[in-house]
Amino acid sequence: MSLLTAEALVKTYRGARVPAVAGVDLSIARGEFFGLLGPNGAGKTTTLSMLCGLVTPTGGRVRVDGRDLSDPAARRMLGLVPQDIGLYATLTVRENLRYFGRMHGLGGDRLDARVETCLAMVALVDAADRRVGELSGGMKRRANLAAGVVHEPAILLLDEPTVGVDAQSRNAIFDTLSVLTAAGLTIVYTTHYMEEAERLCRRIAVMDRGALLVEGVPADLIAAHPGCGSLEDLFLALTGRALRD
Amino acid sequence: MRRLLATAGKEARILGRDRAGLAVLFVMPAVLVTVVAVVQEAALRLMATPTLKVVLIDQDDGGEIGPALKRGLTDAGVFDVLDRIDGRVPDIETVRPRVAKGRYQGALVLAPGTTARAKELADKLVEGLVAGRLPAPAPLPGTDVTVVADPALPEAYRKLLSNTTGAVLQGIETRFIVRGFARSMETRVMEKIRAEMPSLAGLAGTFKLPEFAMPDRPGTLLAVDEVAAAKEAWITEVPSSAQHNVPAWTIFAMFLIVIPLAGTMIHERREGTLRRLLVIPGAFVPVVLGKALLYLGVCVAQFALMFAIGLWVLPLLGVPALDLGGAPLGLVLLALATGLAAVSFGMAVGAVARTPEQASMFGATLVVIAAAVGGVMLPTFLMPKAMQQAAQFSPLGQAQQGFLDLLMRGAGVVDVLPNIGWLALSAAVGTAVALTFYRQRD
Repeated sequence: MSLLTAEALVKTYRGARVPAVAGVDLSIARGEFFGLLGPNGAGKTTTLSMLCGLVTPTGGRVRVDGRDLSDPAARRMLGLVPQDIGLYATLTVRENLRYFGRMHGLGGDRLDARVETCLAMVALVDAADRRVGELSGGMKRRANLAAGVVHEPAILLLDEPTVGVDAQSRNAIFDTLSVLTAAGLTIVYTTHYMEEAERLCRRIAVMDRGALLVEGVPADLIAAHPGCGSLEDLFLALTGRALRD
Repeated sequence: MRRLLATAGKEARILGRDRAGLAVLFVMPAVLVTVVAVVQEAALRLMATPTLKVVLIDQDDGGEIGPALKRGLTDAGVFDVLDRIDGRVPDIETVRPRVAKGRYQGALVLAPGTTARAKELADKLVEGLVAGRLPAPAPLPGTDVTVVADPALPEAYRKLLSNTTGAVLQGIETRFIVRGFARSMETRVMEKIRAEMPSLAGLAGTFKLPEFAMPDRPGTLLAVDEVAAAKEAWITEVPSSAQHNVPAWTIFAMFLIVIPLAGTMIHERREGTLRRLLVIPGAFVPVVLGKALLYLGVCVAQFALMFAIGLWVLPLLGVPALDLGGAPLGLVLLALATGLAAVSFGMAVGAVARTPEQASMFGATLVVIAAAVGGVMLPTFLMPKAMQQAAQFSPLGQAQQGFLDLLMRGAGVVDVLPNIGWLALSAAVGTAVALTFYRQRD
């Protein structure tokens, strides 16, 4: 059964001639690791923003576990790891996690336990009392991930969570995500890196110009497109080689 | 409530680690109020009881006008009259360059023969009056008294010197005229006795009116007192600089929270923390109100600090202690209303501006303009009429007006309710702008 569904999602920003997202349908199962791929300006971040309620769709709707996103119970099931480091630079990692935990309604022993669990999960126990602004890029990304799961969401939405991260930290993030998926967390993951998607995602969708081009299991999609030996080949075949920036 | 307190606590940690922000909010206003109050107190004292050094160059050959002029000017309590410089009688060539350089604020030059000439003119005047003739205006034989002023001396002080000199001279003239009348009376009485009663002619020489002293200055019959108007009673002392500066710079400091408050809001938006918070259902309002709560607390702390400086620090520096007036509740309510208006202004700027640079430039400039228009830096009554009207629309002006009413005009809580209402209205508008734009700008 689908835990997260999007039906005919449309978003046209004020003053824009063409929609940023034009009729996207998604159905993501419980415990699934779903990758949303696309070049810059494809509409990935707008789609993700509509999935978590940050952007109000011009048309269509989002449902979480059968509930409309306007239902607070549906929103409480979501966790977001934004593309930017969504943490307070002058607070320590622990202070950030405690604050976001409190904002999610946690308190007392449960909050303490969750903060320590999350710190251990992203290997930041030793850096827990350092200010986020003083951390390396990789440590910041790991702290960013921890803040997204401190309240134990059912669905985690990650917007390019490994941008600017070294191989070691990227690997640590992948390991954490694998553990979370194994524990039943549903993940929606946007990325530019095809090898990440190929390694992590059970299913992917490729977007361009606001529309979904293909959706399915990576190996099946590659096999269905003759001449494509990898996900990157498939991606370039679908979206073209012309520069987008 | 838990989310609101969590946000307030988080903001407190962030602000506590922002040394520049703390300096802007607490150190800078504390230094400003101390320095400005001390400087202005000295200026106020100079304006209230200035001591102007005036050199008297008496060339009147020992006539009585010189000493009378010195006595009269000294008695005015404003002038320090010097008739000797380095132990010598001064001359105009020595004194003029010193006045021009501001060493002395003025000089009075008494021409030779002034007393004799004045007496002669007084006698002629009396003679004409007694004979039933209107006195013909005496042709000016030359300038008797010349007032020399420092070119940098303010117009008000220059007029003070001229007018006081004129008043003293008028007293001296009156004395000469009265004496002339007395002599005329003696002469006429004696002539009458000789003509009508020759047998008593021998006694005529013994008739003399009693000697009497005349004051050098007029104004001994009717007294003029000076007091400041207040609502309930008369304030008998001129308010100290603390009464104006402490509330003025407190208000200014409160509105300066626009810099750290707007800055933290923009950082929150740009660094993605707001996005994370907006995903949490029902978190937006506590996020905004939590900030408002913390920064309102900052405003209260600023109020306490600045008023404490007025009460206990300024007296150590020679400025009379701040007088809290008779309505402490009014002060607290007005401070809270001012704090709310300041916080909402900061949040509105933080919501509308796109970058921290925009917020600090735009916010700080707007605060300085509103402070200037609102009478924080200069009393509104000194401003042009259009600016005075504009001051009514400045939240800083409304706050300043309310504080001045409470601290200097003997007003009570009810009297400042319109100011509090206006500040509450501007707080509501600012909050509405913040709530509308903060979410939209993300």
